[in-house]
Amino acid sequence: MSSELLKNIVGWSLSILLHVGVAVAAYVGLPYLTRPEIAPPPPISIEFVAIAAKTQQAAPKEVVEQEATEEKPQPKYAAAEQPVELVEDAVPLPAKAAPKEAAPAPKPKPKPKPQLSKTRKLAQSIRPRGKPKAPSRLKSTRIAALIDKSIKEEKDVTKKDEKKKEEKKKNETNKKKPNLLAGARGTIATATIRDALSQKLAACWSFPRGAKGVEKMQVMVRITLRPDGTLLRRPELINAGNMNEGFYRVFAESARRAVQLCAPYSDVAKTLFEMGESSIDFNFNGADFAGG
Amino acid sequence: MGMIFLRRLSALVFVILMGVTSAHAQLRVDVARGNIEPVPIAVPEFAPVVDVETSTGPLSDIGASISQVIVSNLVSTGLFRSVDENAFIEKITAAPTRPNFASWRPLAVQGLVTGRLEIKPDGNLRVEFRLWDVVQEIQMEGVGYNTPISNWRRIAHVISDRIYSRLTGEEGYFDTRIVYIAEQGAATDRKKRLAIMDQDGANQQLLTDGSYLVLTPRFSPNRQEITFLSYFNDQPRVYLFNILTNRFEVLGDFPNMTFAPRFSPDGNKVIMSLADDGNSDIYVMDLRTRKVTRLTDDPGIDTSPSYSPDGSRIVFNSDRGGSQQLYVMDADGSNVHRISFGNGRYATPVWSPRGDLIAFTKIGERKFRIGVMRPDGKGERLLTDAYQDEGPTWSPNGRVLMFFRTTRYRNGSGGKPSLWSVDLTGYNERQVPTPFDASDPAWSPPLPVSTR
Repeated sequence: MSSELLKNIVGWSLSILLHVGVAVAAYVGLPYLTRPEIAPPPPISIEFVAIAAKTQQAAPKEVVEQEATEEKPQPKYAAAEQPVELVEDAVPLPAKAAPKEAAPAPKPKPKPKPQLSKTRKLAQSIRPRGKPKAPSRLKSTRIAALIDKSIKEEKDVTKKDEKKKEEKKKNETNKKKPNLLAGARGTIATATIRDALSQKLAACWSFPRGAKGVEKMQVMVRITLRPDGTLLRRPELINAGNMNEGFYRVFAESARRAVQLCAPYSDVAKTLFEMGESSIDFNFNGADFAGG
Repeated sequence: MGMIFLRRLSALVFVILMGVTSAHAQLRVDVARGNIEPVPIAVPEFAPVVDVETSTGPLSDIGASISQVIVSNLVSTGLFRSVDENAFIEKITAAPTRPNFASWRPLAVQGLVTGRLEIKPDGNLRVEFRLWDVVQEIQMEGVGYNTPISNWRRIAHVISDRIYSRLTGEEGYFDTRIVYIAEQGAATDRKKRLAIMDQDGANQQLLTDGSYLVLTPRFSPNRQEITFLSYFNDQPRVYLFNILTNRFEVLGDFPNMTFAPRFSPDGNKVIMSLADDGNSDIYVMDLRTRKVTRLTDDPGIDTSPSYSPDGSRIVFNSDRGGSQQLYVMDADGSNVHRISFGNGRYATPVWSPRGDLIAFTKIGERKFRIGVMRPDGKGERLLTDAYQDEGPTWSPNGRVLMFFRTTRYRNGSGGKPSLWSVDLTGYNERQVPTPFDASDPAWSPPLPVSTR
């Protein structure tokens, strides 16, 4: 009896142990079980992390710089602008009369004259205009909030030299492009490619801000690549809306121009062709620009 | 056994996942962000077919001036920047050929404007321009104009409008004028005269001699006509003034009026606030019959009415709720409802010609600031943040606001008003050049251009 009981107890406990063991093994072991099957990917996923980190780093940086640069030039610009001068600038002809003289008399003496007056004229006409060139302070993702000047945050922004920043930014984007895509391989990395392409395009897309109803606009642009990443043909608009409507036409054209400006897509081309594909659809969406 | 099952199951799940992924092989990328930096454009000097001397100077100079005015207009929007002329590789000539796009692409130019001009046998100036998309390598626009030579500046504005319209989808506003109050003299003896200028500050003219006070000019939305308020024998009198014919007309004497009437969108009516026994209400006057109809009847002070562009509704401000806030009603005075609910007070609402926004002066936090909100009262944004900005007026395309800014008066200096403009995105704030202190701007509709 006691031995039977013992047997029962042993049997039950063994059974419980086994079941619990199976459950634990399933719970704990499942990830390990699946892992050997897909052994190759791990290095990719490591790179994935690295890339993702970079991606996240780059985006805010750009934005911060944009904010900083605009903040500085704006008040300065408005204050420094010599309003009357700008207007008169376009009118007076005497300064421009010089180049005309130069045309009939192409001798060494008159030549420097027109060049001087020309550059002066240019300097005058371009300097005030050049200033708005500064990258916008607006954060493209949250324009509505940022344009509200009652927000005080805008005021404390670090001051830096515009040009330095612009160059720096350019360098960054130049460096960024190859790195972003270097590790993207195979299907698993599609998300990374998407992310990288989306970023790449954001830099090329001159957004038609302030256009009426832009927050509801969207357009799909399809590109087809050669193996070297250059465009096989002109980008196509897929299911485009009413191209006779001025705002929409400008929106669609800006999107098409963006994919052309961003070419070549050498970084993606290899992965894309490995996937047996050669075309990419870019879906441009103005929703984030609401309030503009 | 369980392990094997799970293993198979996970393998199966993996296969299914792979299948799903490969079904989405067509790579689709969402692009929801873009840069909003000014788009690089190039406008080389317009080239004369034959360079001749004209009454306004050599033709090549006119060509250079036209391209300068165009660049200045486009850059002033904050949407474009001009590429330095010294960097140009290709010299654009009057020959009607396609530009060499390859020599513009390295300059990052996206829009290229080329132009040619010649003197026609009848002595008129002919100006042709083409707008090229350097990226797509196509012509986006090409138009020619004939006009007396003295009109070259207007041609430059008209061309700027065409380019702007093609590149933004918005009507241009460069071929327009601004009426404002030019102020001169000490604060105690201020001379206020009605003045007019081109939108870019050129062609300044004074319209009144300063012997009487003038205030708050308002433009008709479809005619070159303004209303303004003046004090004749210390009585507010409203004038109607046609700018093209220089003809003044008295609309009436209105006791206790503080703002001139605003036009209805069809230009046939004016809407205003009149005081009766110390209580201001909104009235509308038919300009042909001069019949005045009362629209509001409330013990509160109702002022500053402004029509919606379709003429169906009116925005005004009223203190009926305790503080000065914005209200919208139907054009017949019915269905009055409050739309502003923020802290502070709201004044001088103006409905955008585009219809999507209402601009106003917000008074609060010891500042006067210009802001916009949607007609339903949502989406309020302040566009400026200075000591005292007020009196907004819309560009005819509803894209830009002009207003006047007064600096703080301190120790006998300051307190001077000047004109400023700002894009409705709150970006690109800039001062508008005027020879004297300036206040109360009013933007004209586009000037008439005849087309064939």
